[in-house]
Amino acid sequence: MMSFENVRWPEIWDATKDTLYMMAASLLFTIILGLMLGIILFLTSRRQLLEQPVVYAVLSFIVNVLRSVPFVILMILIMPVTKMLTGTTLGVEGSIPPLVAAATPFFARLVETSLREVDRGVVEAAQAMGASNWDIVRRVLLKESSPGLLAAVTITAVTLVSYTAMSGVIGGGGLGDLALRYGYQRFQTDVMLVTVALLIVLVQVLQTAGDALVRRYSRK
Amino acid sequence: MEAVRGVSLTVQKGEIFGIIGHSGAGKSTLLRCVNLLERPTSGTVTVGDVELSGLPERQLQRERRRIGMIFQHFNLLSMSTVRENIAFPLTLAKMPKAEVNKRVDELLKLVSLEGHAEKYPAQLSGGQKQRVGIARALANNPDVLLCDEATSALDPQTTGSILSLLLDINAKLGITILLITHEMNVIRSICDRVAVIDQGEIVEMGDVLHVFLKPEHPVTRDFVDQVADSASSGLPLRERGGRLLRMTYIGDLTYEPILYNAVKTTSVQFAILQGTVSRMKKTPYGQLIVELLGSDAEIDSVIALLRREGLEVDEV
Repeated sequence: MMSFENVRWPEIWDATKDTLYMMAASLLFTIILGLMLGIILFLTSRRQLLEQPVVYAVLSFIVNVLRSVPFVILMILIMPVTKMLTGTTLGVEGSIPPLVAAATPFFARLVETSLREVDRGVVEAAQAMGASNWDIVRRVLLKESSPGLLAAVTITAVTLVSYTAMSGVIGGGGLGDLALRYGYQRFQTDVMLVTVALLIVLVQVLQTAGDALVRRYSRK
Repeated sequence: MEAVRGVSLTVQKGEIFGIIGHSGAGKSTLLRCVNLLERPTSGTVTVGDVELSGLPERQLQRERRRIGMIFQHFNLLSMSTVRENIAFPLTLAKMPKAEVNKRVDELLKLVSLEGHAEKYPAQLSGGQKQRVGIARALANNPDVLLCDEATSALDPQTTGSILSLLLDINAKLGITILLITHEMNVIRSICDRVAVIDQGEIVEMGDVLHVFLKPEHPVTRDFVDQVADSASSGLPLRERGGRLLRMTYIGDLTYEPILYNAVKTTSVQFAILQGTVSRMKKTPYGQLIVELLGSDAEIDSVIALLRREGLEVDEV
């Protein structure tokens, strides 16, 4: 029988809040930056509105590089940048830049893929009606792909939860940090189990809410 | 690769002009050259008195609002309601919201879709989707409507209702319609003039009646044969060794007992071996293959009489 004697609930609660804050803040930046990057990737790709093979190749390469570096290593690699942006490499603030750096290229690819799903004929119809490229992005591409984009946000949010847990390794704070410090370093298995359980609940809630939104906004 | 070359085409204001060709013949590319969705490598495109091919992008976008377009697969915004779809070109043109709503209501009425305004395209039938497409294309009161295989994805009955809507719009609004199709039936039902395109070149062009009754190019003949009752497809067997005539008549002559009048004072007998009596757009016409039996002299006088009445008679 597990006793949970080591579990100090106020600390768990604080860590949960930290995790939610890290996730929300980094998700917000990721959506803004990733959406822009994803749209540029899509528009500059072959046979699209702003076809630019060189721009596409360069951006695509950067995205691939960022995506191929394991998150733990990426955190360490960009520490100087993190320090410049937030003044610290520790705690909640210190983990947001690496989280955004890791999630943005991932989200951008998902955005690119969603936009590719939009029927070319609809884009052509908009052009025939005299829409500018900006009109097409805003009123056609983003709107038509909105269920796909919602699903992409959901997947990214879940990925960010697991990344925030990993940022505990460099003292990032939050539930992952707690699990690492108490559960791993002090052999307090009960603390680790509670944090893991909370992470599972968080992921479930995010995925379920995301799926519900996608269903709500699908018209096909 | 060249999809279309050496095409020179002038469509008159207010007419319904059809371009027919097999798939891959270049008709879709040709249509897309009109609003420059496809840019020709050489040559010019003029709509009304504006040479579109010389315009910078921004002005071209504004000019495109005078050219409506409908598509085989409708190309509606799936995440927008019928109302939002029809309003789309109006909001692009920055029309005030209250006016947009009023205009959309008018258009819904024009295409008989009142009561469907808040539905999404996925909730509509193919014919209804094309009606939304037509309403959307007409929203900015264009001078020209381009139809890209607009009925090819529809069943025959729905095709009929969409074609009569197009005919109605052409008559009511005086809008010029340029359509492409691979179905001769579409050409026969609503077009005034037709161009036949094959391997990127126009091989025959003229009034629909003329092209239909006297197809010259083999590809044109193929298309005319599509309409199964055509008298130009394979000649019937000569049964009794008489003389075979092809008689063509157009307009009110269709309703006259001309053949009977021509033979009644002679001993010539006739047998109708093959033929069609139908209607092209609004013009009735007939084309019959008739075998005449009797003396040559009498038959010659019958032929002369028929010609005097205004029929076109060829011996075949």
